[in-house]
Amino acid sequence: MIKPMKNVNLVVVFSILTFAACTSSDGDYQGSGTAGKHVVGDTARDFQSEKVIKFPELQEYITTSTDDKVKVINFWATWCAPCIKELPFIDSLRYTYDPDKVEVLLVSLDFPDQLSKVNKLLQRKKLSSTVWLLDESDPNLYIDKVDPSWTGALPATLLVRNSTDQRIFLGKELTKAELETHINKLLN
Amino acid sequence: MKYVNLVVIFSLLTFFACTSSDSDYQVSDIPGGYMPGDTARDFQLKNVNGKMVSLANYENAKGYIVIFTCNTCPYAAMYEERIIELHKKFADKGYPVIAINPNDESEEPGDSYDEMIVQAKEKGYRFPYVQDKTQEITKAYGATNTPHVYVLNKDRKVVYIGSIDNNARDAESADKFYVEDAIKALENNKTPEISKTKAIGCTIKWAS
Repeated sequence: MIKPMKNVNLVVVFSILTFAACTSSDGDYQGSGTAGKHVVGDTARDFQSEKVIKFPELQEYITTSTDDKVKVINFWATWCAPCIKELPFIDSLRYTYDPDKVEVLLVSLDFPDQLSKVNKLLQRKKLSSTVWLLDESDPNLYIDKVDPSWTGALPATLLVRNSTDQRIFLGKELTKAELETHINKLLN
Repeated sequence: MKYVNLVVIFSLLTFFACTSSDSDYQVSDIPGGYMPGDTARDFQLKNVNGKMVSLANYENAKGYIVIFTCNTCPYAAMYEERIIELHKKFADKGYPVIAINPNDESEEPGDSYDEMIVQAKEKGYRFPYVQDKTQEITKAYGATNTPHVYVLNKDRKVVYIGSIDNNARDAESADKFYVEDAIKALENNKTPEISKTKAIGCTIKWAS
């Protein structure tokens, strides 16, 4: 069950985020005990990497080719158990593949006032990929633009390689092996 | 998903993009499923009160609001009140809600038959909440998410597939009421203007 935090002023959230990012890269700005604390050797999250976006920005990211990379765009949410199962191995693609070849973007479909919940999860799972939170209330404005075969169910993953005009949409929970097989297809 | 030739996909995409924006051309794990205009099959599924429910049981129905929903999906929870309201508003007019839980209970124990009984009692469901234990009906209808609504006319012809409205989070902020509009269209012997929408939701938990 989602128990949304009511009326969190985004400006405040962002101020806090920025503040935390500026004062300490390890800062546990949530003040929420030890769960999210990093120990020496961990990769601290760059708090500025989570941003709340509208769909056109995501669409531009999906369709613009500035390089030869395979973009792995994973749609998830903190309330989606199968999504959370996938996140660690999607995040670890950064180590499996050359960062010049494969790039990961995690698109959270949590609501904007749940950014702190998203942050907590990212910290707890020690995920370092870039995360955007998609702030659109009407899914029919974007689902088909991501991919017409997307039913809207989470998780969903879009693989794009613009330099070769290839894309694969995977509207289901994946295993690490499945995901890598699809990425390899686009790389070859 | 098996290896799929991208050229073929793109040709299909282009082809269907030109022919119909609603076409279900997807290479999906669930073959089939209804589109608006298809005739939906009846079913016989066990309600939380232990009795079997079929659409044919409704003698005076002018249509049906069949909703695939569950106990465990936060989106289903967000829409639960609205589902209860739909039944309150339209059952007496001849359009009852029939809620079907499509999730496999070993994959999602929170959606077991026993948990369904608890949920229906706690929330005071006035409509059947039946379990699609074999998932046969869910597959036949082509439901993919919870909640996923199918509005049928009295002859079980599908007139609308999709979400209840266009704002899951906040009913007050919704400004498109797809299911209500579909029923209004049925009342006036018309086809709904919008016959298919999509919604963010949880994947149906298929038996492995």
